[in-house]
Amino acid sequence: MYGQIGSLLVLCVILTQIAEAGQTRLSRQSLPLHHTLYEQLQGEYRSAYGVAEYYKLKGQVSPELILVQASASLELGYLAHGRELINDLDEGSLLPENQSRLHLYLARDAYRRRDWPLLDTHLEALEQFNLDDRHYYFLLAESARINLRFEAAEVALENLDLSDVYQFYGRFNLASSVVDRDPATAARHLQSLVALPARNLEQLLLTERGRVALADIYLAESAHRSNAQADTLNANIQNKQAREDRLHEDRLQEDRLHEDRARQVLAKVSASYQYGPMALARLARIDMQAGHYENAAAIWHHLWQNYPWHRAATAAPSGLGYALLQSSGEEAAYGTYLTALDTLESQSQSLSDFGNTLSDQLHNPDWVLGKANNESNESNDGNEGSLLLWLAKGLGHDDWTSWLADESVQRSARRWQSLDLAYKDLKRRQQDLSILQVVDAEQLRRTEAARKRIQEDDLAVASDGLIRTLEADLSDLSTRNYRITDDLSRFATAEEAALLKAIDQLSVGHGQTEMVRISRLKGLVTYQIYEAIPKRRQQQRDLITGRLAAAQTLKQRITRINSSAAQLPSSALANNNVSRRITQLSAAADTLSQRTAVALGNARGSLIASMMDYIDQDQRLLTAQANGLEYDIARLLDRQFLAEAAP
Amino acid sequence: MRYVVNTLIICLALMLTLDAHGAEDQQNLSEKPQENNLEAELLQLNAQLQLLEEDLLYPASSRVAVFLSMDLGELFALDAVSLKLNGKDVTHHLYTERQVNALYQGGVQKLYVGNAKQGMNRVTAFFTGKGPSDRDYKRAVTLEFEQSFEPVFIELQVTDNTGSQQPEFVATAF
Repeated sequence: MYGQIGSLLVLCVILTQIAEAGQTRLSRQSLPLHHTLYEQLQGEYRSAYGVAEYYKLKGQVSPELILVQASASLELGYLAHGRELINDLDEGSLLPENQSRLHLYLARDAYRRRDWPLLDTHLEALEQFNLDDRHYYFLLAESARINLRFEAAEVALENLDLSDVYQFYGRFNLASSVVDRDPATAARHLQSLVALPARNLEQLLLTERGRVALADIYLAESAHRSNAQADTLNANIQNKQAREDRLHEDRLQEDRLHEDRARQVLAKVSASYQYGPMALARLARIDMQAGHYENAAAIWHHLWQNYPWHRAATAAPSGLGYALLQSSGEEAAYGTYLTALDTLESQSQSLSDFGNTLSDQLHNPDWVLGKANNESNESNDGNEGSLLLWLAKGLGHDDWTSWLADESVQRSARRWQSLDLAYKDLKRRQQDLSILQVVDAEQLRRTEAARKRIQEDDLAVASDGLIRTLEADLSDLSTRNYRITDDLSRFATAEEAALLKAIDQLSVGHGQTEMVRISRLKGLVTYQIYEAIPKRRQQQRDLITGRLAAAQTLKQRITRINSSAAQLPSSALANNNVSRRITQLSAAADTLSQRTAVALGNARGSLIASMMDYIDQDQRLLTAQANGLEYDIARLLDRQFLAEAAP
Repeated sequence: MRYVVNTLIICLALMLTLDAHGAEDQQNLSEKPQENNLEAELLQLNAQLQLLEEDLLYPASSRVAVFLSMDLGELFALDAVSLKLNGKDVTHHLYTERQVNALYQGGVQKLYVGNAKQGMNRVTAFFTGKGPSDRDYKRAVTLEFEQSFEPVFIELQVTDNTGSQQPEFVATAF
């Protein structure tokens, strides 16, 4: 439920952000929100929380980012923390749409904590926003119901879609509120509830719950109406015997009518879910009241055999015995009572043994974790499910879902598992920190080595010299006008340089004619080079510019290394900023680890307590059943004794 | 009979009471502030650790971070993105439906964080998916950027060009 509110908050944030920005291009300001949303929208709430926290640490925080983080907190079940985040928000800094969401969340929170005046305050604040939201309508309906304004509650529910789960909850709650003073209205709400289209398991279970409750109202209704009828008959029929006969007849007819209606409703309850046994128990009761003992016996037997641990089967052994007494005689009933008693004693013994094992072993964390891990390996299931499955098997439950569904057991197990994961995660983080410490030390070593090398080789001076030379070359290339009579060898290609060298060698020891020809040849090559100078000068300029940039980068790196090295105390490298952060984080991880270990111990204790409590409840139930059976047996024996003693 | 029926009625009445409260209980969530704080503190510690890790492994002067976003995205169904930095494969990501939906709804994915050399660098992203008419579609986009002493942020964006009815792939440093 909170998840849905959280998602809506997020959706609203997105819409308003897009509307506000009026552009789709990302900026460094909008990046934190959109990056966090990416995780949140996938349902990766831990990541979303972490990403938001990461940007907060970097100082890139906005009210919308906090809102998303609060939403992630709620999804993760960190309700108190989520509330803190939202309380710290400055409402005025939010867009109106988000202000309404904020009030909606706070109203929802007040409802959850049953703080009705606060709920009304936030609902009043929401009036100005003309909100069209399913959560809002549900809260309006609930507020009206709590304030006994049932008609207003119905009006608010009319705004909800018929397939909305809130419609189901709203109608059931309305029926619950009026059932004592106005069963007919309660029945009307439940009738509308069971007619709703159930599209998922949650809705189906609510519908089935509604059917069972509606059947109970029908069954209870006959007594009320019969009293009213008695008053009418008293006024109209003077003869006492005739009046009583008529009343009896009317009551029987009335009973049949209501029982038929209840039976029709109960017949639609599926046997596959938790309300199936409850419906069966009611059907057995109806058959008992109508005198259909064979049917009743069959239902009680089915109930007891198939749902031995279900609360609805509590009366099954006793009911079965009585139904058999009426349909098959005392012998069958007596045999059933004794068998039932034996079964109950056996169940009670197995519960006691199991409880003793648990109380001995559950305090031993290694045993619990070992058991959970073994089960986990066998079933490839989560630790929680496997451990509970094992415990449920130990209790003798074939259908262990009712036990597993116990809210306190589930809550404790979830808490235990979540803290266990947190504890393991912390251990991994401590290892990560050790690795980072090694990386940091290595980086520091390299920085220090680089600094030494820079100093020893005087690299800073060398790079300055290189830059000066390159700049001079560049200046020369850019400004000087070359002529054909100059030495142009700096622009010659390797082939041209080799050719010029060969020509120079030819000129030695030849006559004048040859010398003229050689000189002409050299002039041709030189002219060719001269012609190519503009192009080659540009190439050389580009080359020198590139080298100059590289030399400047090198100088910047030398400056940076010198600067970071200067931050290091020469003797104690560990005291730099990163090392200090690592040390602080390690200390924080240690403290958190210790606190988590304590909380883990508490959670385990709580899990054990809730398990033992459940076992106690089962034990008390068995004892009550056994007492009831013993009473039934005693009555049967009395009856037999009286029958034998009769003349 | 009266005893049995009375017992049954009491049991059934108890169940109705439980039911009546059940609906409200369903709305209730448990909370243990101290333990919740522990888990939140763990996430906060993780965030600090991540920041430290980044500072240490990707110094600001060489850090480059690549993000992916989608605007509309009706003309392109994203399957995968590969990223090359200076010709070297640095990351490859296959998208789930949930991740694509998160992108459609305005989320931005941090695709890559790494180090780039000082000076000019080149990043190339290859997008694979289904284009208009459900045809296989593969496109690349390249961006040259200069790494100075500040971290570089690059956004890869998939947008719909409604004029040409084709998806567009853009890379921008911001």
